[in-house]
Amino acid sequence: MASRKCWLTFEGGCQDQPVIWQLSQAFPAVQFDVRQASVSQQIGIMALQFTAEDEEQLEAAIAFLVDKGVRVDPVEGGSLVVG
Amino acid sequence: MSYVKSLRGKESGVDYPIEPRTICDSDFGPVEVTYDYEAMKGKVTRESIEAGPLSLWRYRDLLPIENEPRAGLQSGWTPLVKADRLAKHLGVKELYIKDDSANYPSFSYKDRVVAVAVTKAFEFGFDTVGCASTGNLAHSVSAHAAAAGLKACVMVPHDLEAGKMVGMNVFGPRVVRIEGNYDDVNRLCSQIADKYNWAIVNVNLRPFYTEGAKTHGFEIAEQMGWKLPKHTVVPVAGGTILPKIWKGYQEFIELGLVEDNKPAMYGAQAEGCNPIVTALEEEAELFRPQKPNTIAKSIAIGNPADGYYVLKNIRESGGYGASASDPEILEAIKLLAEHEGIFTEPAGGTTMACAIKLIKSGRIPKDEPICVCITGNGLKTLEAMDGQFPESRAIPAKMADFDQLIQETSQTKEPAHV
Repeated sequence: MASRKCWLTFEGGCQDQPVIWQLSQAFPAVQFDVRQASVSQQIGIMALQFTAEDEEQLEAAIAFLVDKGVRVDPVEGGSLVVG
Repeated sequence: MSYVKSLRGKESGVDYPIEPRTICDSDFGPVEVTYDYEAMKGKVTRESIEAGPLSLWRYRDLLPIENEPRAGLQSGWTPLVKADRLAKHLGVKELYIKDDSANYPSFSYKDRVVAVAVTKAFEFGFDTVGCASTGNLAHSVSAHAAAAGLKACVMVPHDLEAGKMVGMNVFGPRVVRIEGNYDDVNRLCSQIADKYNWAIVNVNLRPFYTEGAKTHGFEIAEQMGWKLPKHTVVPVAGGTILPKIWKGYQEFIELGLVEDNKPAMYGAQAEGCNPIVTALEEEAELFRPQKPNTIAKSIAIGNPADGYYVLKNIRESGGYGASASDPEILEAIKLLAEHEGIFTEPAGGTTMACAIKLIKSGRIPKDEPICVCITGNGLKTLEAMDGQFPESRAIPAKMADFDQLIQETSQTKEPAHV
């Protein structure tokens, strides 16, 4: 199994789109576990742990998000931007 | 004796054992060292601290180490300068400069955090230490590793000032220049820590590293005669120091070492990289990351790791923030140097310039004690001052020529750059 911890930042319009639902439909084999979320009119920030059979599936799912306009960053030490 | 209890998720409250740990597994937020303050009461006293060494290790009971310190034995205990000349110039009653540009061995506040992190690296059995840095941290890690006999590998943005590159290279670490800004470097370092099992002091040793920053606040309080300044102005980069000075103040209050005078904290940033100040001005709950563009490179961090806590502590303390333009930063460097004999880097110029703005705007009252935190030395960033001064005139080695020059320049009010 492959796993990845990521910060997702939604802004510039994509915070109004059902991107996470679209992700679940496009990649049913990729599981994601929401650890934090904060959403306002201007910006949405989520911390997710992705799990999949292999790295390729993870990369494809993340590429899908980036293509939708979501900024995806790896979780780093103390990179908390929501309370 | 250690009073450390656990590593705890700052938001989740989940406890973890004392181990190299970057984040809380529950919410991916930061973890922080917790202590048994009840056990400290009556044992950690003004007298016990005053009996300690004249270094940051006089506060070792409030630091997360188990054994004797292994690094930075002469770090900390930097001057707290009562800046009367500058106070008079600014029209304020009581002004202090906490001057970590005099820190040992690498002339920045980073010597505090690295002293604790490298000691902890020994305790965990690492043989290599490293960091993501805008210069000062790499300088300090390199110096402490050399003195402690550890291997070092430091990662920095490719466009650092030449003085800082020399300052770290001289200690013999492996220096890796990364084509990107600090945020790119930091991202890579989080992967390096996992893959190479190195002690990256501001990644997998971050909870311990950040505790070292508290000593800056402890010293301010002790050097003021066991009192807290009413207003403390602090530079904001990744956001370590302001929340940790605040934590240090709160710990001293908790232990009854100082009176709670409701100290207010103020964040200082350059206009070219001011996500925290922008969030304060817009009254936004969250800050928006920025792409840095300022001469104050050591605080040019567009996505501050602990920015959320900087905002939180500023707001709960009743403080505020300000940002300064590059010309204002350079003017403030000169002002501090000409009035107090302290030469700071652009980060310190930013802090001084922002303090002046906060005083002039009335955010900081002129009749209450103010402390400005200077965190790095100007000798490392000489390029920043290029073109700021007229070239000195050369004269023949004759008294008549000297007399003439003095006569010609005696009219000016400025220091004679002759």
